[in-house]
Amino acid sequence: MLLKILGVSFIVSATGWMGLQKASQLSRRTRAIRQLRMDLEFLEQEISYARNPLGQALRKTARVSAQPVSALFENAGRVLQENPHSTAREAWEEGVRCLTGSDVLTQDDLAIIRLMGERMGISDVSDQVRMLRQAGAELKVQEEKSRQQEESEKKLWSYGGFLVGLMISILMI
Amino acid sequence: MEIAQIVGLGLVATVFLLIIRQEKPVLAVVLSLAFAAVIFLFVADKISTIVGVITELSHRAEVNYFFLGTVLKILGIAYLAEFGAAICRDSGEGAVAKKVEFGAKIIIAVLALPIMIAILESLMEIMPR
Amino acid sequence: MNTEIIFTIAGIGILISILGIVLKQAQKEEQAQMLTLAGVVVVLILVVQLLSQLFTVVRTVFNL
Repeated sequence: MLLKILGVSFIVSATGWMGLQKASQLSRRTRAIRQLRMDLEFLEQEISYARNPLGQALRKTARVSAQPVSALFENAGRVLQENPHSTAREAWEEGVRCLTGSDVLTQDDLAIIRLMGERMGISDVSDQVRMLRQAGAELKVQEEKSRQQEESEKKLWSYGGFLVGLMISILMI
Repeated sequence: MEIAQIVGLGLVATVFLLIIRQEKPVLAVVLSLAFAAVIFLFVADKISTIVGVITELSHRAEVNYFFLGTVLKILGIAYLAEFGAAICRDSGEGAVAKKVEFGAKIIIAVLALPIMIAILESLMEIMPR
Repeated sequence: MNTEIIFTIAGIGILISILGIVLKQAQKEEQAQMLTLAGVVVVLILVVQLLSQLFTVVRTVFNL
């Protein structure tokens, strides 16, 4: 009897925890995209108004940013600082690579950021600014989609995990 | 206190059925099916005992076992038909229930034919020509 | 008395209802319907054994 109760609570808490993880991932993605968008605006300000060199601008952006998005700017800035001959594109690639590790942003989001890196640092300031603004607009669309997805699916995953665990335990006991 | 068990289980099943019929009527059908099966299986032993006693009595009274056997079969068919028809009716399928009962009536009539013929023959023997 | 199966079926039925409601909230109607069908199949498999037992006993008791 005690063993049964133990087993049931095991299964239910395991599936419930998985469900809650999925739910929190949805809200984390929304927040990360918004953070990324704000950081890109900051970067744009640094480049166009303060006219800072890219390495410095990236490091300043990393400081105002938050995990996990700050990893992008931190590592990009680090590469530029350590190796003065590296191109901005390589630095950006490195930053995106470090960002791919944490599974908060989806492939679509990362594709937008990677695309930006293709043309980073090879054109003049106004072109860079236009590129940053375009990426920001695309990210805004993604943010909106993510927010809608979060709204509709968050409750599903947070309740669904526990319910599926309960069903499995009922079927097996 | 077997009656308490039966009544208790019946009330519990009714409450569950009320809840489930609102959301998923399909599962309510299956649940009432399962409950009916459980109750019958529970009392099946007692029914066997009763049938055995009646058979024994009819042996002693030297009634042809054929008649008792037929009556028993008819009882069984009636029970099964009622079982199925009630569940159909509860789910709102009155027409299906009526057809189940109709089929049972036909089968019972077929089974009862020999008895009716036997009765008619006895009557004709008794009646003066 | 085989009361466990009653509680199993009732439990599964209620849980499927709740999951169906939650899925409808998340605007995934098709998945809710598929879940209902899956639940019905599972419960039917559970009940079919019980029913075959019932019919065997009825045949025995009433000499059908």
